[in-house]
Amino acid sequence: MDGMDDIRETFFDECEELLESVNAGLKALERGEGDGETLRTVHRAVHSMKGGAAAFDFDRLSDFAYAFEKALKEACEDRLSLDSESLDVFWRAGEALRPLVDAARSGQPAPTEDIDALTPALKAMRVAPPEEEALSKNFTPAKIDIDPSIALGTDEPRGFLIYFKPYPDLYDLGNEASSIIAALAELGELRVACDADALPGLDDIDPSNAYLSWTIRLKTRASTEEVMDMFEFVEGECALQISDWRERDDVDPTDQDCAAAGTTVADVVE
Amino acid sequence: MTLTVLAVDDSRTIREMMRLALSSANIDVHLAEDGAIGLEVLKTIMPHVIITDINMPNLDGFGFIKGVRQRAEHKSTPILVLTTEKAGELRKKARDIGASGWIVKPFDKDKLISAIQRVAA
Repeated sequence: MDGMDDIRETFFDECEELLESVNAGLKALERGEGDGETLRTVHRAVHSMKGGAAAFDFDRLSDFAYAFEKALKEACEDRLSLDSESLDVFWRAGEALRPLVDAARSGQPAPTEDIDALTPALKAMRVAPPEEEALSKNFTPAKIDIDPSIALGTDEPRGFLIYFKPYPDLYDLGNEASSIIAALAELGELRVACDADALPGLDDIDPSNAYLSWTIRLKTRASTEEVMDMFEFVEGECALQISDWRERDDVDPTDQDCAAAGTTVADVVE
Repeated sequence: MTLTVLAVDDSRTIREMMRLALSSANIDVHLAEDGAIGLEVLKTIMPHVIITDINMPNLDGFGFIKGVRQRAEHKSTPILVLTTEKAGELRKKARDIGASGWIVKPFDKDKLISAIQRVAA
């Protein structure tokens, strides 16, 4: 990306401010002058450093900042008490950031001694389950129906048959069926048939409801994953079936599927 | 049609990356450094899409999304949240208060633009 060199310099300038913020915050906490906001400011500074470092592939810096950030979050959320022992680890972690930033800037190898010693200490402070575990415990992803016979990745154009029926939530959260269909059209050749059978008369329309569904035939070189990505924001907010179209190449979906569904409106987007 | 995007992030580096990536796709970019400033900027522009970080001073991303959704004119403006790969729980919480989708950090320019186009009505 043009201009990335300038942004890289912006990142290192910002790192100086963030390091100062970490240093000042930890000093205040050590003196007993800090409060919850002081701790959150330190956490945000380390978080920002991690995000910027990851963007430039400064892995040592981003990995260490990640471990540091997670330990700080434990303290921010009162799962870890700020005693002399934890403050000592935070202080040493704050000190260890500087040589990592300098190494990233100069392109020299990052020092490993302090980092190797501190990283396990920071990780040991984590009480909360990793977010992935928490997710699996508390959240059941909505099921999307994908035909298992769909082959993965191919250079040959292939067909997908997609049935897409948004629920009202999809629109409530700012998503839009037409934008998703337009994005699918970017992947290849698209034919779309809209089923408007559920649409009531004008007097009975509830503007907050969702009445339309679409049967879509997509011919593309994109992988199943790329096609699925088009729907990632609306998972659970629509009925979605994606199947392989190759077995039915001889049938035009705008004729067969829509006739089966009693389609009254047909549109074709190439 | 030229798309207008408001990007809210307290990191100057990330804001500049957003500006660079989106400008190259002829997207009109407005930037704000926290949620409170983001809400002020929204009094002056009507973006097609809003992108927000979560962890910010003054008003974080959750507070910002709630504030946006309380305004009738932005009730259905798409909001994309900047998250990390592992932040599934955060995505769910953001979705529950009105976010439309998410962008994984560090973001890839093409995926960022694709995500914006997917939600921009």
